[in-house]
Amino acid sequence: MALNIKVRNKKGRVRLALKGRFDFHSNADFRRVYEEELQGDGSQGIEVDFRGVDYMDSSALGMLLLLKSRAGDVNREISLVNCTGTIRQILDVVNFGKMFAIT
Amino acid sequence: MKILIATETPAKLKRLEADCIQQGYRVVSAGNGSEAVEKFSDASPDLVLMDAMMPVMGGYEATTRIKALSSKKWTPVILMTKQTSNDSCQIQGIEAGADDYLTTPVNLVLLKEKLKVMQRMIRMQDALHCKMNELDDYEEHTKEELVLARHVMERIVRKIDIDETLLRRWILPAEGFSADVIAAAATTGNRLHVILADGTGHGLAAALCVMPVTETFYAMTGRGFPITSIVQELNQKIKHLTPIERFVAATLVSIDWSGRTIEVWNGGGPATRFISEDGRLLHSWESKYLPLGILGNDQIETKTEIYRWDEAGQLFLFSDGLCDARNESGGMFGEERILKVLAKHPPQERFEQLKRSVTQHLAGDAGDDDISLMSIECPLYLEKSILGKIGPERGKSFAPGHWKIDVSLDAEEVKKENILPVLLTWLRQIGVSEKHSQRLFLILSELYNNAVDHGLLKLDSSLKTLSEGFEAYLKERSRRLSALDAGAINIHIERIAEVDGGRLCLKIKDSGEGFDFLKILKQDPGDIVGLSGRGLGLVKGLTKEMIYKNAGNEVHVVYELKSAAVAV
Repeated sequence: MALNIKVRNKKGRVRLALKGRFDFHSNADFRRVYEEELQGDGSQGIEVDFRGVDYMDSSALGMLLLLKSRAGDVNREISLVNCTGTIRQILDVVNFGKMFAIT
Repeated sequence: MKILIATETPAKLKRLEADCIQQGYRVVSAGNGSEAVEKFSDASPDLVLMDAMMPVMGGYEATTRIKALSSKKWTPVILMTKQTSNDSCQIQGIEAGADDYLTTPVNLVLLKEKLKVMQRMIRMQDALHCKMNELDDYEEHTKEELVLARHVMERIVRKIDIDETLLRRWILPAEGFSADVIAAAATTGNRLHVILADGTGHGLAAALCVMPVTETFYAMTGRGFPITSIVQELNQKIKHLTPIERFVAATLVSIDWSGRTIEVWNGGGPATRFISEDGRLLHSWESKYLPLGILGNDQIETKTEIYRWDEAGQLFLFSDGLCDARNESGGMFGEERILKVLAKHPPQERFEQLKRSVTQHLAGDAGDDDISLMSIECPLYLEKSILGKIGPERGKSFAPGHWKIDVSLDAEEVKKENILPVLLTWLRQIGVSEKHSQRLFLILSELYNNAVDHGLLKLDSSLKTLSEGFEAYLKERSRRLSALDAGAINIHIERIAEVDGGRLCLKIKDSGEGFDFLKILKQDPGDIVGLSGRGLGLVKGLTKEMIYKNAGNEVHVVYELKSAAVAV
């Protein structure tokens, strides 16, 4: 059950729509995709869309930290959108609201 | 490629040999099956071309023997049968282990093609064989590394020297060893410090990230630092040592059994729960902060939450592996079930019941994540015999000599709240034994805290009598402390050397207005209800002499170093 990542670019705003399990098996894919997007120009910020994610583990949280740090290097904002249910709970327990805009 | 050709017909051998050599192969020959087996061992050819019918030993039997000899390396055998032979000859050959057939007289064009195919297959087999060897080596190497890692982890997560009737713990690793860590140690001030830390992910990589945690925790607890300072140090260590995507969720707890307080810092762990004896949830400490190793030390928040118990209970800490433990159908164990199990069983059975319940839920599986669980007893009164067991080990005797230490602190230094551990470290380095430094730490902290709370911050200790009042007191204290902009505290410690061990004279003076010390000191210790009053009673009991000077803003005590037979 690999993580499916769809990239949409709307007027320079990139959205990574995730679907499936976001865990250590998907780290390499996730990294590859966001690195590609960070390299592209015209992107103002990146939204990670959790609507289709049914599970995430702590290494996925680590990936988000890595993404934030990399995005910070090129002055881009990261936001986490459509975080509900279990995903929202996981993000709340580690207080990621202090690091990311979460909706 | 080296080919072994076995045939009893010299003309046939000559023809096949010439053909093979012409195609660039090397050739070894044998006149019958038995000779072929012998040559096979000696010359280790890559392929065997053999007549099915031969004297002494036929091709079928020779094939079986050759296959038995070449179990490690695949060596194809091509059997040559008469054109008139039927299917049963081929079946017999397959059973013997032959890989292909040619009919005689051999069609040289067909032989050439078959040899090419076989050579291709041999190369593939060789590559596979090579990879398998690499994999074997890799596995061997990994095993060795894991043994080493486990050894180091076991040393780091040393045995906790706390009575089982007070503290119980359990860790169930998802892999060979755990990246969850539980450590507990008594402080010099007879408190208990506890940490439950959970590194990102599981297995070796995660374990590496929690390795620095326990050593730092034990060292700083031993030196008398409060958990807020330990949080800061751990955060810095983990941030510095591990890559960005790695962090450690941790809960640190400081328990004071005599003052009946629990102080908690929870960064990214599940809520810590305090359960009454009859199973009610009396208090929860939710995660308020980011896990360790993410923020810089200028950003990390170390504010703890303190609870005072007026009703006996048990404190439960666990890692998210316990809540998230999944059964076969993917159902999580869940927080709710944890609370239900805790509510349902009597205090002495809760820990084991929770263990049993999650083990049953997993039904023999290891979880996706490490699971850890810890319980700590918080009775209204703790028997002194048990309390005695939690103290750190006793040290060496006091070295003789005369010395003195003078420390002056301004408001900025007072705010840092770290002078006591520093003083304690000095005392130990100078050679004060564990037994004495523990008591001196108690005395110093009582007197120093009085100077800060009542002298500089002008707090009214009668606030502390009620449990709600106690929390209000702490809140007010922290508010006033951060607003403090003037004031000073002077500490003087002097050793008077004498033959029998001598004395220590402590003087603490604050810039405050003093207090009505006569009223408090005249009270019978049994009547003193306020915590600060109780503190003075304690100091009085531990020292030979305690005198308040001036308006009560200066206190002198004399501590005997010769005898340790003072009741705490």
